Amino acid sequence: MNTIIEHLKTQKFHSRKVIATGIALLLIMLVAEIWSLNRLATFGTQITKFESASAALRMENEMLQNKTAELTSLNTIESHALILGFRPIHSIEYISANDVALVGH
Amino acid sequence: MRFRVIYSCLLLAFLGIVLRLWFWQVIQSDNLTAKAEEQRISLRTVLAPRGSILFNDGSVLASVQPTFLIFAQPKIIQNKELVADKLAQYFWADELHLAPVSEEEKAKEIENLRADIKDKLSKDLFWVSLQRKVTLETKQKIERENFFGIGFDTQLERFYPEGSSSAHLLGFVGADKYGEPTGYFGVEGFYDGELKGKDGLITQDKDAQGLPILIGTYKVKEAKSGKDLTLTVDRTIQHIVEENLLEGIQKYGAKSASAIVMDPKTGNIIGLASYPNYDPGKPADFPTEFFKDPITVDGYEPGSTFKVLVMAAGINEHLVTPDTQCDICAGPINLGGFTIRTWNNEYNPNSTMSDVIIHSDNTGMVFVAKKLGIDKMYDYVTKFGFGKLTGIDLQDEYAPDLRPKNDWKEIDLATSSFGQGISATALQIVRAVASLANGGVLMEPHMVKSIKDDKGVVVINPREVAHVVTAETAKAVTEMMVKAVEQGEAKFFRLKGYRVAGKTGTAQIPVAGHYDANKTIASFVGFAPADDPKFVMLVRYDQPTASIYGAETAAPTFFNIARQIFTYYNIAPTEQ
Repeated sequence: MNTIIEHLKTQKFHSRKVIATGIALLLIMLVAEIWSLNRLATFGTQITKFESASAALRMENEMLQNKTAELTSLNTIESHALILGFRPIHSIEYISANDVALVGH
Repeated sequence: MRFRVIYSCLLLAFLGIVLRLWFWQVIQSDNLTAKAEEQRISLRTVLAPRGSILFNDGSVLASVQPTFLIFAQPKIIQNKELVADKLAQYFWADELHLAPVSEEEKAKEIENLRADIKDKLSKDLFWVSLQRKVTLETKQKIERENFFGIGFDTQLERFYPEGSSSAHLLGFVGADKYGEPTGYFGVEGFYDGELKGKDGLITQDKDAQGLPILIGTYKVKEAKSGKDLTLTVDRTIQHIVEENLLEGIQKYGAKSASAIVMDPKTGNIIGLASYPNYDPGKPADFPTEFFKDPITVDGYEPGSTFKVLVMAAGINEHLVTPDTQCDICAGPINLGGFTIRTWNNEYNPNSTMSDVIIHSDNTGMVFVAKKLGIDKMYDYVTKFGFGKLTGIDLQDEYAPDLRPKNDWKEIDLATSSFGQGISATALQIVRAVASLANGGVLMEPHMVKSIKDDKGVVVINPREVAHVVTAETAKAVTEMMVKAVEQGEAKFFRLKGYRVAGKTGTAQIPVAGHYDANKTIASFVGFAPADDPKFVMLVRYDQPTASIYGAETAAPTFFNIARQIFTYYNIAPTEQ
């Protein structure tokens, strides 16, 4: 009889342990969830920072492409060519095969 | 009893609460949900860039660039004087100053800007626009100042790396009545639907500070960029045409000038320019009459350039040959109370049809027209595309009306044979002459070679419109046009070593019911090399003052442009 009562007391102790562990785990998970939600919810500044950086890079890329187009425009090339000393050609002489003396070996 | 009263009051109070709850949670549910979402959800537009317009080699003619609208929230700005002062400096530096500005002028302009900004900041408004189209560089400088209450809205504006080049073929982007960017005139207007993008939308949860929440709602409707257009226009030829035309309009003192270059085999427009023109980036700075392209819109009497088409009709009908002699060319012709003379009052009694074209003989053309008759003449005029739109992909093309055949009198038949009394646009003339360079086949002209979007590239193929004359007829008229260049009034300007087919035109302008002898439209139309034409071109001066004749104004410009095109295309001379 005493053995059964002892056994029952032990069982009761174990089940209390399990319940306590369960509650503790639940509390830990709850705290962890609240903490992670809180952390993630404040990522807004990071997101905005990344979005701004991405937009700025895209914009810079577009500006550079436009700058390239401007610098390679014919008007720009012509004015730079004149500064470098190039001049328009007014007469061109075409040389045909008949005009060249062929030297045989 | 007292218990029942208390009980009833409590019940009533409970019912009241339930009803109130029902009102707020059921009746007002949608309204409150919407308000909550408004506070919680941010909507951000993602701008879709307008499609780019490229030359045929892929170089950029029109693209987009980001600019910024700077706005202020006057109610929350503390130090308005300082903000106004600083912003005025930045705004002045951001403006394009083409001419050097003295210190005094600079100070005055900055002071004006400062006063304007301060006035706007003093208004009792939540939001006010301070400056538009601010560059990225200036925006970044202002951002570094960290002004509280100053913000930036991104806008996408058109950017033209070639400046005001190609204004008429491009058109410009303005705003419609709803303030939406819309293309007007030219390619921007015709292809506005394709070039326009569709803005996207980002829907996401935001916190109390307006910052996005990572684990919240995030929905994206992607922005769809506008389609890119690749034109048939050659950048180098366009530059050559514009340079020569600008030089010509100044040299010959003309009111306006136009030139169009086309590939006769495909109908591709490879160069198109008119002066006066405008800057498509700043259309508001120019008179509205500059926007329409004279080449596709202005009808004029083509004069002697029309003769080659009438001659082609006569030869095609086997009514005349290049060697047929004219038996009414001994002197002026009297017809219906009118006298038809040659341009120089010189007459050759036994002129052949070739001579008629070489000497631009009006009486010889009346000879051909009489053989054709009104019916056949009218048929060929319509077959060559006159009286209807060419179908070119430029907005606002106009086709002058052709008088109905039944209204034609004998004098109309006669005068139309030398290009008077009939109206056409420069585009219609060059396209009709191009058919002679293309074995008698009339092509549809077009500006756009291909349209590209994220799904792929759509190529626009050349389209044959009609077989107007036979290949033999086209060849015969081509030879007559070559002789016209070699022996006619324009022979002093022709290019040695090249066979160029061409015709001068000097058409008097009708003023108040009669023709003004001192006001002409001087033109030259031609194609080269005659045996395998690579291009057909028309040059036109409106009311040149240095000389009224096409042979002395339009022809030299034509040959200058042709010479440079030969070099560009590596076309060597074919004759010694």
